[in-house]
Amino acid sequence: MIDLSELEHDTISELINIGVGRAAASLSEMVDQPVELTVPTITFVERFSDSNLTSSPEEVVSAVSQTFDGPFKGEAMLVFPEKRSLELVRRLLKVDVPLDTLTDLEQEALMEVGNIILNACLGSIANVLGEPINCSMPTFRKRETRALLNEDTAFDAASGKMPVLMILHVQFMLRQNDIDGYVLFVMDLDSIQTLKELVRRFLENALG
Amino acid sequence: MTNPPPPIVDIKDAAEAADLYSNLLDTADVGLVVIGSDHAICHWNQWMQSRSGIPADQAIGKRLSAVFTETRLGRLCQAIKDCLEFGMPAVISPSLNQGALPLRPLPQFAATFDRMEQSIRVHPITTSRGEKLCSLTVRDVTLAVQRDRLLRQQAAELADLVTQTRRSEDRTRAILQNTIDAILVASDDGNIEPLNARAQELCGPEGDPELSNIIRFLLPDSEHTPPQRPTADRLLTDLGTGVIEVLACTPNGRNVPLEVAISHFSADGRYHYIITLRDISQRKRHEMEIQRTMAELERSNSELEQFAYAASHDLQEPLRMVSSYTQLIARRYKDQLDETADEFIHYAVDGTQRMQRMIDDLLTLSRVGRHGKPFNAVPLDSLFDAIAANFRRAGLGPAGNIVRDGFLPTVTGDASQLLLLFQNLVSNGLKYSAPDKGEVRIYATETDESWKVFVADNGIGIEPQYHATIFEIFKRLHGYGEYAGTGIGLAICKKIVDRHGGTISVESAPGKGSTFCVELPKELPIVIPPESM
Amino acid sequence: MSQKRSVLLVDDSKFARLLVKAFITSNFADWRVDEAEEAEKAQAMAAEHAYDYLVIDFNMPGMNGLELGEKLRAAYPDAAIALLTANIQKEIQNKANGLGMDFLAKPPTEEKICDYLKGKEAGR
Repeated sequence: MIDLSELEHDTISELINIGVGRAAASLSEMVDQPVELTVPTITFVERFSDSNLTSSPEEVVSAVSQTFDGPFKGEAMLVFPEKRSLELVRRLLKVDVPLDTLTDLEQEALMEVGNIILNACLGSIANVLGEPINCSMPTFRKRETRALLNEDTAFDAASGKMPVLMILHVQFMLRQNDIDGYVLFVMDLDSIQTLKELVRRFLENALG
Repeated sequence: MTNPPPPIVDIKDAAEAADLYSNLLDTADVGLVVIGSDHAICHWNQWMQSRSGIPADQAIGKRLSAVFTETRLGRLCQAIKDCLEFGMPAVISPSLNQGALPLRPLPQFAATFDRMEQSIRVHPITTSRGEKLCSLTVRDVTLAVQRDRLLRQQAAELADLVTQTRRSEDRTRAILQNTIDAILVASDDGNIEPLNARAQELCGPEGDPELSNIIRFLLPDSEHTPPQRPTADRLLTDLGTGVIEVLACTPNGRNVPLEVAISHFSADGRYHYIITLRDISQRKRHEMEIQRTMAELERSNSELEQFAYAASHDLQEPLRMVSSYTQLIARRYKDQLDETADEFIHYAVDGTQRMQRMIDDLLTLSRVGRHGKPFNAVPLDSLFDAIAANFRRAGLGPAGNIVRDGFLPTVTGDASQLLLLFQNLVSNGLKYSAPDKGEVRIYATETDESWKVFVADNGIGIEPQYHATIFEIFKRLHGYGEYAGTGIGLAICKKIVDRHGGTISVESAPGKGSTFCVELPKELPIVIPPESM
Repeated sequence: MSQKRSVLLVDDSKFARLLVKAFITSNFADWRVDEAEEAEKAQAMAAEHAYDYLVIDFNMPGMNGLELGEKLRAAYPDAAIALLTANIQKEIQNKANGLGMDFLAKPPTEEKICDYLKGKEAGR
């Protein structure tokens, strides 16, 4: 079971916020316009179907995914409804072209955006906790929400290792409008426990 | 079974393997750079050398930022740092990092691209000794970027086109809908489709159910299924006159006269007719108004002429009696009464004679309208021959006082009236000139539509303020003593010219003579004033 | 360094407050370190006690760190005010400096916090 104290939750939350702050700064510099990124909420769920992401299961989403490995392992994903991802990329690239799907180049740009955010979140945690995390190159996928986790996730339901999801609600605040997306961390219970242990140890050390 | 032959390269042999991998790296169609934990470049493949123009020995051992003194490297350098410090891989996309590295594009792109468009991957590598390295893989995606731009451009153009087309369609529809005329289209299968609101109103369920049949009847090639001829009260004009007017009867009892215009076009290999129905209620009302006014005018004109004729004719009889007896008295009692009586009798005789002439002229004037003859070709040369002969016979003026100057045309008109017209003008000209050196010059000019015949004299001339009124009846500019005349002559001229659809005008100045201009149309006007019919 | 100073930490993250407080107390043992998790409480506390240092987070529910900083700057001209934030964009830094606030990028490290305070103390 996910059993985090308020302080542990707060710590993870703060680490993530520091990460996305850095990500926003580099994005802002890259696209030469103010980009603000905030994480209003972080929730933990045991089943993907419990998250409000699946409120419209047939909605097509764009996802940038990176697997990570180290003391805790799993998969991190930046997820947007496809329409929002189009909007985000085109706002960042300052183009307004009436194409209704991402072109290859836009897809790669979204991949870079995902890469920057996911690296920042993971890096922030790794940096503070003092444990290196190995990440894979990001991959892109586009599919219906309900099918987002069915494949590609390394977890095996038969083995009883049900994945646990840490879901960050991410808000991009751009000049014209806000675009909402999610960052998903899919980990098994062992990894969550390791993370919790690392946080606890870090707090002990830091606070004496 | 034989053993497979030994591999050509033995990768277990370190030297051979190193040679193979080095060759592989140098023949790869991507840029490969390896950066050590000290941030110094430790590999720079052939591709990087050729695309950057920097040989390996100038790159190896240096930081990337020292090899490329560039400001755009920010994101890439950060990614390398994160990779070396935290083992984070990175994607550097061409769209978010245009020309991250200053690499040359292939010659075919040199015209449109300053730099190669690159897609870069930054990846951590851990050596067998546990050392953290960072690899850069650089792909040339200039072609993809070019295609992407083309795609965007085309998409934008297409969207523009769609917007434009839609706007133009909306406009056309709005114009069609808001046209006052009803517009319908008929295809060759006889199907008639109302195109706008007015057409729907006239031919739809609220309109005239018979109208479609009438239209079908009017269409040129409806022979194969000849529709029934509409009843006479529905066709307001004769077919074949070029103007088609029909009457639409709506169920609510309103009758609308419509003018029908039919044009055609071909589309999809079929023939279509465009039928335009214009509501001519207003015009019809006006036409009726005009017709009524004309009829009234005609009636009052003819009454007036009747009156003038009757009056002058009936006046003649008693006048002739007065005239005969005053002349009888003058003859018989001359010198038998005193001088004053003789003078009085002379005035009485003169008066009756002038009255006689006036009545004659009035009769002539009324006859211009009442007894016109049909129009013929009238050669003006022979007309003036006759006039000259008349004047010679009457002994008016010296010989050669009527001069014809150049060519005189043949005009269309009533020969006897034209004779009267020009005889009056010539006579006028001579009358107001010095009797011994009076001269009238006749000449003609031509415009596209008319002949202008001028009658110019060298007489006393007319003050400008009278130019407009001299053609009115009983306008005399001089006392009876000075110049003979009834004041009706020019009125007769005007009436004759009017009947011929022409105009008469004068140009004159006192002492400089007068020039009368009669302009007669070459083609007779379509509408001849009713009083001349 | 013998001077006894007081610090008010304003951050909605308890973790961040604990961390910064730990860094301060382990280096300046006799300093007073108070905490507030949002702007209104911070204003009330500042009114009660004249703090030498105000360390404020940028992203907070309600009033943000810049708005709060501006109010506190006007009310307590002698206090040193620092914006401690994960939002490290130039725009925010410039705004903070414009309001007479120092800028500290998150994550807070012991070195970063101590260097800042020592530098300030040396200047007093």
